[in-house]
Amino acid sequence: MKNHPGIPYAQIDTDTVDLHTGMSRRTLLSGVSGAVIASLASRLASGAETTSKSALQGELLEAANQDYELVAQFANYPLQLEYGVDKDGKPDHASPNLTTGHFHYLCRSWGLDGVFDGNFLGPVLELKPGKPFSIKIVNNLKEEGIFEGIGPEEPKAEDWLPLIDPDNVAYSFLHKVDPLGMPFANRCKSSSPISDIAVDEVNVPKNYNWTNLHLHGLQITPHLFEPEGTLEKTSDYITIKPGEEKTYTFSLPEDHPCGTFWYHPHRHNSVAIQSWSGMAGMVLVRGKYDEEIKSYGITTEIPFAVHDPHYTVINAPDAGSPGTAKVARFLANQNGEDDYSFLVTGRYRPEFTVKRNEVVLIRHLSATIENVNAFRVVKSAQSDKPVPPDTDDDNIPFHIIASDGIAYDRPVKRMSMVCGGGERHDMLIQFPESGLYEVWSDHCGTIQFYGGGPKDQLLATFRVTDEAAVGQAPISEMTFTPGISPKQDISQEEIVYRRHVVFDLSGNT
Amino acid sequence: MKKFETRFYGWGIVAAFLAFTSGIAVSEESYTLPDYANECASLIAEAPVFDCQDLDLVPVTVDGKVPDVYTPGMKCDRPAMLPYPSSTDGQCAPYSRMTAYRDDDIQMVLLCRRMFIRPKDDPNFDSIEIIMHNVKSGSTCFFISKNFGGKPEGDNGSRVPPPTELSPPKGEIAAADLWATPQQVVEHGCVYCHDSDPWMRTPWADQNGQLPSNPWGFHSIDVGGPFKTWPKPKSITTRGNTCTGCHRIGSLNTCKMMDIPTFGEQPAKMLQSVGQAPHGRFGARRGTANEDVPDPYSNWASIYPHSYWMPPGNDVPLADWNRIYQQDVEDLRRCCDNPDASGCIVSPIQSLKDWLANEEN
Repeated sequence: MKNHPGIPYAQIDTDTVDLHTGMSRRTLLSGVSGAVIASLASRLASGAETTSKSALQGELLEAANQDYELVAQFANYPLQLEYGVDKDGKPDHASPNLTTGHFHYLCRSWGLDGVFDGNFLGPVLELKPGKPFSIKIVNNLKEEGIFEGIGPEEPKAEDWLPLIDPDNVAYSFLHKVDPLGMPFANRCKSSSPISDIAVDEVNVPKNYNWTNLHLHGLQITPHLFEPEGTLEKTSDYITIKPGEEKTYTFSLPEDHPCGTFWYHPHRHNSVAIQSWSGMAGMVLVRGKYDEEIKSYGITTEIPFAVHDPHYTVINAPDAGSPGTAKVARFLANQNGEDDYSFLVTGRYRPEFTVKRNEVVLIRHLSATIENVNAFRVVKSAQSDKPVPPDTDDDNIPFHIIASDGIAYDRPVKRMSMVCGGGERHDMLIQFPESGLYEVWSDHCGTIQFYGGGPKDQLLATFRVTDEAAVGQAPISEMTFTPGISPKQDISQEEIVYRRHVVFDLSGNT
Repeated sequence: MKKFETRFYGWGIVAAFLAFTSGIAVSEESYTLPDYANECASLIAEAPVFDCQDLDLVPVTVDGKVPDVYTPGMKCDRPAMLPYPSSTDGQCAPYSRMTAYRDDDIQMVLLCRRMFIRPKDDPNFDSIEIIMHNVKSGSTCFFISKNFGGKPEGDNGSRVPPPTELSPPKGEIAAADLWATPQQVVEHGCVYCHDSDPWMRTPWADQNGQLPSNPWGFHSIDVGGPFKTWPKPKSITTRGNTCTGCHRIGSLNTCKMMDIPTFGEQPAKMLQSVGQAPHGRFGARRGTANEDVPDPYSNWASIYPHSYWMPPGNDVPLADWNRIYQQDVEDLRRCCDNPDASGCIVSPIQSLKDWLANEEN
């Protein structure tokens, strides 16, 4: 289990002392006193280099051992986060005035072989087509010590009543006939008896410490329900309770597409809470595709996982001491009771350093639970309070070479993109001039359900050095073996199971 | 409307009967209206006799209100989106009527257009049209009257004969006198615009809630005669494209500016639907593509979000619209110009029969 090819999201020095607490995260997790750990909060604020160059340099591609052990455990991560404040600077989740600060984020997290690196997202897992692999899940989610009673509180049936009450002014818009004619049609009131409510027991948030594993996008045996491989629709979810462990074993087909995939828990009831905690990570299936990328002289690969943890501020940062935040109550975001930030590779506004004219591979994963998010790159105006430019006219182009783990035959040029949760795009980007560039997710504030959407946020920056990269092929001349043939439809013979699914937005089903 | 319901009930039986009894093997030169009508009836359904006044009104509003007075060449919120002859009163002439009928197999729209301003209850109309579509097989047929706004008095729409009717009741207009010949229909070039699927969801056509929908179904002009000269549209998309998440984009006039026989150069419908067509958002007539044609749009319709009608119900801020859709529009434009470009996915829009044949191959 120890000789695995897993890599962290970024090269982070973990040998310095946290100036705020004097304690290391590993200390908190392992109980070993006296150890030290990175002052991640201060490092992130100072824009430490985070570019990963190891993945494309050869040795990892040859790794044969593909057995992983992921330990689910409570964690206390130093993170920089955005939160709302009132006019006196006190936390106010409802306020449009946002500030940032350093926090201890109390959450559930994955550790590779029980070792928690400096990133609160799970480690990158690397797999190869045609190879068997296993992932052992160890559930150590025991609410002990500072995590005892962390919750968050499980919602009760009556918590939903205000949301569906047509007399509730805050949500009355849901009950109006909108242009598409999809109003909620139920007529429950806040005072309705609970006995009138049909509770969807399979899906309501609860049992936050139960977990399991979903490998998203991989062409492998179905593995959400007991027993693994079953197609029986009444089967129960695979459940790994605290103190239990389970080893999943799979084999990737020889012709499995190479590219970017991801993993996260999929035990209904606890998925959102655990994923907001950071229990998600990237899966890279490596093979011929990577060799093709390398053949063009591309050596810099940046895992760029966009993540949107929702949290409740318990204590705000004060006089240089970090605050405390914990994962929000599940209904809190729907009630506007929480704060959230877009994080990239588990950090707030990380900075990546690349050379001028260097063709860089970005592994973009939209690991969001709640929000769509945009991606566009612009030259920084070097403002203390950066804002996204009004137009896309000056966007830096990027070129997508694979989407959802499926390679294109040639790079597809784009100036911007919008991703929903779960999307993956491998993209090449090249900065012709040195300087600072900003990656924005913006103008998505009205495009989700019922006219809502995430705030604008600067996701990350690229610092482009004066030194120019050499020896790389022009993007326009690159070709790749398509991940799947466009004409490779599913044949009738391959259909072994059919389900009839009805989607409904009326609120009546 | 009731009288139509009984007539339309059991289209499938009618179609099956006609398919069994009608002879369809007709040479292109001698392919007559009865040949076309019978073939469509066999493939889809027999059109009913109808009275245009029984159909549902297509509203005309100006800045959100029904105007007190209608004037020739007036502007309105939802013009007809079809280039009417310049001698007509324009695309905002009131009291066009349209009704759709459908069952599990068949979708059919009956349409009586007004291009000249007449009283609401006037029986005359300036273009009478039928579009019929077999959802199961994909067959689609278009019928249009010989007159398309060419005579100010119009045609009496009190009794519109089915195209299959060989002899009308005494005193009524004959099908052969009302309906365009197959060659004339072909010259209208219906398929160039109806290329994505049978139904064009323009604001004008969509506003009385009658328009059927079959955005992903089979769609094929698989009748004979001169219709064989119509091009076969293809579906253009890119992976994950937001526009084509709801409907196809046809490779003909939906995709790009085209010279259509009756109407001249027409801007890409895809761009018209998002207010980005280069010359007039509604299309100019032949010879006027590079001229400033009279704009039939009201102030209301000229301002975003009303100037963009995709997606239906759109009311997000323009910057948000641009963020989620503009790159996808650009991707489609690129693929429409060059379907071989990187990331473009091209697939046939076809009938069930052709799809099955391709599957076997």
